[in-house]
Amino acid sequence: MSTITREGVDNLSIDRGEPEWLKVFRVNALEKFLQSPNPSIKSDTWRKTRVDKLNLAEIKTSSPAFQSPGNKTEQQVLERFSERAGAVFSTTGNSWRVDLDEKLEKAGVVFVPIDEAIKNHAESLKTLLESETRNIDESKDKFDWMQEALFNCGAYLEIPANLVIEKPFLVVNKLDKSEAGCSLFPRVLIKAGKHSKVSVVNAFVCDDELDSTVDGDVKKLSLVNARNLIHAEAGSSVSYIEVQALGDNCFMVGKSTGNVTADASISTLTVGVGGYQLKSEISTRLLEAGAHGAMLGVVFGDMNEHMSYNTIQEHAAPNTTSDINFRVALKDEAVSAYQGNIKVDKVAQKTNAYQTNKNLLLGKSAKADSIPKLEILANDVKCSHGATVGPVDQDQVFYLMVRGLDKKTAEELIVAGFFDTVLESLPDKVANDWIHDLIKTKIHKERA
Amino acid sequence: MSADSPLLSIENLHVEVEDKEILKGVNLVINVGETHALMGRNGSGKSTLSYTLMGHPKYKVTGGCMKYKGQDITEMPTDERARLGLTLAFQYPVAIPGVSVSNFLRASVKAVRGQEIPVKEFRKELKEVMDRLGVPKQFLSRYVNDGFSGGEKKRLEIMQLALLKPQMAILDETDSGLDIDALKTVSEGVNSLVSKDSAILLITHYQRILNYVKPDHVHVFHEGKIVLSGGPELSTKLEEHGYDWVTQELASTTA
Ligand SMILES: Nc1ncnc2c1ncn2[C@@H]1O[C@H](COP(=O)(O)OP(=O)(O)OP(=O)(O)O)[C@@H](O)[C@H]1O
Ligand SMILES: [Mg+2]
Repeated sequence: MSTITREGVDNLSIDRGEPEWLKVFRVNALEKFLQSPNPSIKSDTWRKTRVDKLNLAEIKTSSPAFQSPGNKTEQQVLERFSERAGAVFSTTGNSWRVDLDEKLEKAGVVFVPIDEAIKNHAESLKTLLESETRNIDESKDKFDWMQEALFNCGAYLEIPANLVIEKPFLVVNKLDKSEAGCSLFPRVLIKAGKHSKVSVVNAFVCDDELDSTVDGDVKKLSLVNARNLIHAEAGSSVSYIEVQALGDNCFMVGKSTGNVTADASISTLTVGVGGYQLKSEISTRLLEAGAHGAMLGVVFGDMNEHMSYNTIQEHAAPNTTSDINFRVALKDEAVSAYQGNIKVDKVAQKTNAYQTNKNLLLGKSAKADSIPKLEILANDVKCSHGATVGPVDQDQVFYLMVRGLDKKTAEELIVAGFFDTVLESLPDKVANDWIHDLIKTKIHKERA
Repeated sequence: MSADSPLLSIENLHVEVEDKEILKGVNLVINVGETHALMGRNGSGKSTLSYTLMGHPKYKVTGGCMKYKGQDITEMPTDERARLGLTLAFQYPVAIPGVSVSNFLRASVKAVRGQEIPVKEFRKELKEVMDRLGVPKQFLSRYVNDGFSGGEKKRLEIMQLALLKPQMAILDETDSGLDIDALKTVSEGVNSLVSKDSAILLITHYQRILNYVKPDHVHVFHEGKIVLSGGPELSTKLEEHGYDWVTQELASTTA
């Protein structure tokens, strides 16, 4: 039974002892959710997705009992990032802080689960949530409203001005797959103070031994509906890595928005390596002069996986720059759709916007498509975009085989290299190694 | 392989590329210990021969065969040929962005030798070869053939061969685009590939490399086959007089 009802939302708010303003926020969102139509696979942003395979009535949104992180999937992630600034862990409906560097806490860093932020940092949180509502209300769809109505885990991170932190903050979201039809509605809010520097790794994982809950022919899907909001104040620098490594019965809808102010920069890397459907929108809004946004993507699908990525680089002020490099490789019958939006407002003169999307087809039945969408209203801009879709270059394979590599090893090396041209710019070695391992496992994975 | 059978023999080889016949009956026998030079006009089919010897899927053998160590390799996959000791230094080495030279070399050495070599040993071997061929250390972390100058790519090709020590190396214009000093170092690299157990086929347009790498046999390629063979004096004559006299002689004998 679906709990996406007024009663469900009321109970969620009451159980958590939430303040009135948040309850109003949620109820308003619920109403919009109920009024919104299901997204259509004919629409620009949901084309080629499997949204019509997701039965919302089968999704359970109630919070189960508290679980502590003892399970191996999340422990492995935590162990990898042993050199970290702090960690918050979320699982179905609950979040808690694993740790936070004491020195950072003393220096004024706030890194808490979202419900604690609601209690103790209500003002900042409210401002962040409401700014988002005001700005993009009309562009929200059913899943956005669902997220607003139901978000029940995640983290809030606030970095004071001038603090430079090299070690990453880790947020791990684990989907509990022991039950089909479970759901996760995490929300991560990041506020980087003036001239601060911070890096965040936001990971979505699940236990692999619980893959494929098949009931007859129909897969029972689980749902992750995630929201992420970054606010980079003047001169700050934020690195955000999102790893989507879910199982083949997980439907993930994600939306990430970065607001970049004067001379600040946000660099995002989205890694999509597992899910029944991964559907993400990543947007960077360059709001003041000198703002820079970089958006990288490394997406690797196999079997019947569907991957859908929309990027939005929005230039809302003069003298701003953006740079997108999104790479997709597909094995077997995997399908992907990429849409790259470049928006340049009338005032945004001297914009420099760059976008490239490359798709490598490894399976004969794999399909990828790429659509650029340009909306350029200023006249003094530099803007370039390019996309390629194609199989592995046979001359490259031949070259490697002439040096003794068998065909499979040759192709694997080429695919790893294809992603490496994106990952080489990643400063965090631990994150880099993890992403490499995820890709490597998938490259070597044989069809069951 | 019996002691006196040739290392490589090509018999009446016909090859098509995209439905067009390029090789029209190539015959060539190469024994261990021999250095062969193959010369001929642009577009005569020399690179087509080298790709076919390695089994490029675009080049279809429509007649004849190739034997390596007595075994028919005409249908053999490229990597198996390489593991039997046959390899090619490319005229136009292809860039593989994202794959570093060092990773590639390790994978290649492992594949050809059939086993992983300890990192330390590999580094030592690599250093020796790189020093000998004047390949800067920084090249290792760069991507395979990506952004290198023409001459640098050729140096990298010969360095790979020096590391892999193929028994039968085909060198397709490895001397083109090299500066004078590089030509000398690369030639030394080529010479080091020849022993009493191995052989090379050197495709070139110029006499200058043949001053360093002394061929036992020189062949002239014309319109998809070898039309003339001789000793080292043949290349000197070609350098002086070009190819016209070869074609004229051909016309008069066939007329
Ligand atoms: N993949 C291909 N597609 C179409 N034509 C080809 C292909 N490969 C070779 N050819 C043609 O075959 C002929 C022989 O080419 P090849 O590269 O073997 O010549 P070459 O003797 O190596 O010349 P050069 O001295 O310029 O390197 C040329 O006419 C060339 O255009
Ligand atoms: Mg050639």
